[in-house]
Amino acid sequence: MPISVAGQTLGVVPAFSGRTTVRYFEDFVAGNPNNAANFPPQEWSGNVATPVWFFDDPADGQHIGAIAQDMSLSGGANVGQLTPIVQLNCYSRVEWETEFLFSGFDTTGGRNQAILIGMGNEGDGCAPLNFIGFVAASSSVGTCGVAYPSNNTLHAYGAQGAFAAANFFGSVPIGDVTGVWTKLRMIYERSFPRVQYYIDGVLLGTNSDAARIPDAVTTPFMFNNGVSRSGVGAPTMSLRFDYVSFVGTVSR
Amino acid sequence: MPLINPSIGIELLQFQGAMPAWFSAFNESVFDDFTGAQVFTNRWTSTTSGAGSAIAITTGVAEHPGLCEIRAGTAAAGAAQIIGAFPASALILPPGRWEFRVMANLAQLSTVADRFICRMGLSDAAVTGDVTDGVYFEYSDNINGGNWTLCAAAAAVRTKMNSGAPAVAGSYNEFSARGNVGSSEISYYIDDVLLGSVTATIPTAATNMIPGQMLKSAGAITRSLFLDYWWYAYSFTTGR
Repeated sequence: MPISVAGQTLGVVPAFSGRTTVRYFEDFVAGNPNNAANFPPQEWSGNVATPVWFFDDPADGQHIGAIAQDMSLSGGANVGQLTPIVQLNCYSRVEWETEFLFSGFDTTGGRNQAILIGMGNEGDGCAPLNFIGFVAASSSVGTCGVAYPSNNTLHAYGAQGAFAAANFFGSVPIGDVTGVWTKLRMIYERSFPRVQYYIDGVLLGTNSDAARIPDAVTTPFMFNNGVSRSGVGAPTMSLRFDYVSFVGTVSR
Repeated sequence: MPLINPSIGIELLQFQGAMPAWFSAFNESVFDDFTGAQVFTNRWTSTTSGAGSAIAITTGVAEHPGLCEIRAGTAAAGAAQIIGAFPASALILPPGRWEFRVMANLAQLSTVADRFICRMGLSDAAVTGDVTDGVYFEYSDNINGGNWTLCAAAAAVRTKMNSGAPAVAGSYNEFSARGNVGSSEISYYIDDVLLGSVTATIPTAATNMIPGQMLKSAGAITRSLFLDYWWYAYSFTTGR
């Protein structure tokens, strides 16, 4: 009798799913800590500035292997960007998800801060141009020279080539997602087209504006901390990610 | 209570608190969708010859995200290929079942003036010359009237069967071959349509994965093969 485990049978080539599905999944359990150079090479090569990415084992025992972007800078913006190539409109449907832990903003010395989490091809800054994701800023003034609809608020966001007030599609107070592991999820469907944004499974908003869904090449996972160049001191802020997942559907 | 992991989708039924099954006891596989920022050098070795020859990851098109271009350059003998980055040819086909699938788009057809050979499949070949041990698809305008040829090679003795299927430029098609237990028969498919089977000169020596090879013999124009994905799977006859 053939031996089967988890749908696989000895002597039988497993079914091929790659013709219809493209997956990225990273649980951040590989590599050496505190050294960006040891990040899994090539597949996850990143645009990583100081401070470096590092692997972490959070104390709760439920989020083993995480990646963090902690910062304590005296100024300037910082970006962490993982760089597989993704062009959303190559896919019929995309489901993107991450779970993150945010320390909260620290505006010590008058330095305002911002975070961006999602998919995009931004290299820097907090006025994302080709990006879908979640954004927040401690202040609209001095952080990055653009005005979010409200400060200290996590917004659903979508843009194609231009920052505008109409790029925002729902929000929650940043306090709701500070200090607690929180799942962020986006579902892109090309046929509409539209992007739906979820926080811990609850629909936050829907972006049905094709002009605000990027059609340029993006990267599936982009995490961006920004600290304003104005002000003084070295405020600290931390973003940690337990995993990131990308599942794209194609008909080929 | 069983839970469907929301981050994975509906394929994997997982139980909270239970250990997931180990998937590698019966099979091994390699899959590359060529959506990385570059060709993974820990997986593939890129070889080019002649001016303008190159291996490059390019952005995709609708339903074909991420492409690997195998470009034979402007030199008359321009050539390019990617091959598995094993220390040496490391795939031995018998005794298990195996299968490879490669989705590819031949950008141009071969002509008398701009002639090239395209090969895809399993091969231990260097970028020039035919295959010593391998299983592969082969195309050129002067081989079987420009039809795809179904090939098996063992110790440089080759079986080559006319598939009857003409190569088409600018079309994405999936080329696959499957070996039965013991590799006594290999079946070849394009888009899951059976084209033919081979039972002679099936390799027993080590071979390798060669998702794409372009080898020019005439002309000063670049010729490209675009790979959408490569998949190779092997099923053991005895669990490990």
